[in-house]
Amino acid sequence: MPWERLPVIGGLLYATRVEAGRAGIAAVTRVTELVLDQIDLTALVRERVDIDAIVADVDIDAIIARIDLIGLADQIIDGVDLPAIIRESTGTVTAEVMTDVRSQTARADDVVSGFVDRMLGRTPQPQEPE
Amino acid sequence: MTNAGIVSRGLAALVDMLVVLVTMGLLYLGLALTTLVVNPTSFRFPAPNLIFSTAVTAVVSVLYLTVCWTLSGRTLGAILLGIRVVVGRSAERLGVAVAIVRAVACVLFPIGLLWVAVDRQRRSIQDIALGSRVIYDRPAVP
Repeated sequence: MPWERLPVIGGLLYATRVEAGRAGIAAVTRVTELVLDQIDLTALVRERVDIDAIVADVDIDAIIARIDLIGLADQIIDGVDLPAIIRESTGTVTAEVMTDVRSQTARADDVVSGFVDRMLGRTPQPQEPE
Repeated sequence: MTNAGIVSRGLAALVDMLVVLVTMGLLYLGLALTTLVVNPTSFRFPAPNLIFSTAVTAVVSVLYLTVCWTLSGRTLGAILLGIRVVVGRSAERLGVAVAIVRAVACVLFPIGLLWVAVDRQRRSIQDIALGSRVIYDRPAVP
């Protein structure tokens, strides 16, 4: 500004202009913040914007094409210890089947013993537990 | 420790018979392959005579039973059915000599097993003769 080149008061005028500009920007920023705080932007967007139309325009295929699906799947599979799960479940099933077979045959043993005891007219004798 | 009855022991014996049969099949396959390798031009499936194959089956059975009973008291069938062959009140493993005699007796006179159903202490003829017994052997249910 030309008057800022004036002797004596020129420097003062320059400093005042810079300071006034700074204060102005600060005031406008503060006012904008206050206004934005008062407005519920999310509600405003919901009310005013047709989100469905925007989503309909999105090319999901292009997004999927940008994702490394195989890499993602590998990461997921790495995180899941599938062999351990299979081992555990089959082990439990086998153990259960074996326990079942053993207790069933033991019961059959007792039935046969009882039957033979009756046939021979013996008093049924429980097997001695030690 | 309760002595195991006829059903458990009979089923275990059946499983063991199956094991011996499979072993015999593998031996036969090995014999056929060896014959093929040694003399490929005039190869015919070997037809061992009845006495020979019976004798080999008996030897394989005795070996299988003796080794299993001496090492752990359990054959494959016994493991499946949860039973174990032991000797005496303290339920010790069979010694080699007793195991061999018991195995031979079981192979030559399998019908002795049926006495388990009749005997009050569930002993087979072989058990009575050798002082052995077959007990239930399974991990305690938690």
